[in-house]
Amino acid sequence: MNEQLFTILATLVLVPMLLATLRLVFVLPSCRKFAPGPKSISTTPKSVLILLGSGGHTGEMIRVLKQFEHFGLLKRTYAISDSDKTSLASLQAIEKSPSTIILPRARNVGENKVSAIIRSLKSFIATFRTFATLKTYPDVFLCNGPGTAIPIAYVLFFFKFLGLCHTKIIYVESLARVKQLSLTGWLILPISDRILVQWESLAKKYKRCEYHGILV
Amino acid sequence: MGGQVLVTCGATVCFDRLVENALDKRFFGLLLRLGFDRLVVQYGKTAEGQELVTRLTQQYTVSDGQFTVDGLHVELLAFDADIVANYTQKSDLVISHGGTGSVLDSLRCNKKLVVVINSALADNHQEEIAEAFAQQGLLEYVRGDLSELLRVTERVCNRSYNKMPSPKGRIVEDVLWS
Repeated sequence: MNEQLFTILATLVLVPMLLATLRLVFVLPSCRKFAPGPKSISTTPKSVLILLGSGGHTGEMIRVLKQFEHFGLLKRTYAISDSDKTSLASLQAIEKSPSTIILPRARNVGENKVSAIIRSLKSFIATFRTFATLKTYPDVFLCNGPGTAIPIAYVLFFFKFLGLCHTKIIYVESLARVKQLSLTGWLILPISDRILVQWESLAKKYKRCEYHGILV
Repeated sequence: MGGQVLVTCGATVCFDRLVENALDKRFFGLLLRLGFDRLVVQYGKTAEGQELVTRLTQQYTVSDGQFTVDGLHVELLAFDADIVANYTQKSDLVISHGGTGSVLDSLRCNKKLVVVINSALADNHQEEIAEAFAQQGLLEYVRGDLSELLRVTERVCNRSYNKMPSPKGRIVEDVLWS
């Protein structure tokens, strides 16, 4: 291979890599200085995907949603795991006929680290497949606690990186986390647009966490 | 005089030690001495919980999940989806497991609350949250045995507690639209 050809090939590889990095920096919320825009509840409906994790997480999410003053202005869809029997029942308290996305369960193969990694990968692939078939993407993904938030958030972030959607990710940390973020909270930190915590000690510890009082 | 005490294990699993303590003669005695005349014990949906409760109440004449001992009316309840409206609001004191949902239910109803920590749970954030609320003067929590529960229950009945500020969930709506 002559020198000239090699240089051209190297450029062909390096330029897209540089562009991808620049794009990543552009879309990563953690690379931007946070400036809250003015709150403007418009009459154009906003579509929001709400994760109902299970048990206590679903409980906290519904406690939050019940306080919304303009709930009707949101075009709501709920993400529920197919193994979750109780979230749909709890949802009846606020929705008569909810629109849902059912997330396939990643089968539990065992309890060691290797199978945990395999399980996570499977759940990423399953989530990717589910979301790749959506016709429109939500304006906002609102989630809390459980690990199922992670594949959804990263799949949406990947689509945002590709320019396919502009979904804003909002994460609410569980009330049970007083001293440090949960693993889910920690993993979602770099790609989450806003992170709301419910204890002041957390907001002091992590720069991107906001505390406004107990939300639930 | 009179009044109702609610002991709650939450929706799913039975918290054995809490149920054992709640159905102990010494606990009944304390409640009577403090002037209560009703006790509701909510023990969860599992078969194990049902068995435990049946075993602990063998000595009483239980009919329709209820019995009376020395003037204290005891009601045994597996689970009620509407526990807040049907029981929590009607109680004067709540003895609860440390689950976030049950703790919030009591505090939001402004009830006196003793949280019993289930140390058998592996990932224990229950103690963390109970401790944080206790520091704000909203509740008391116990980890130990029956005598600790008796001592703290008596103390809770004789002092007042702070009211929890109303929830700020509306902020999430603002964040969503911003």
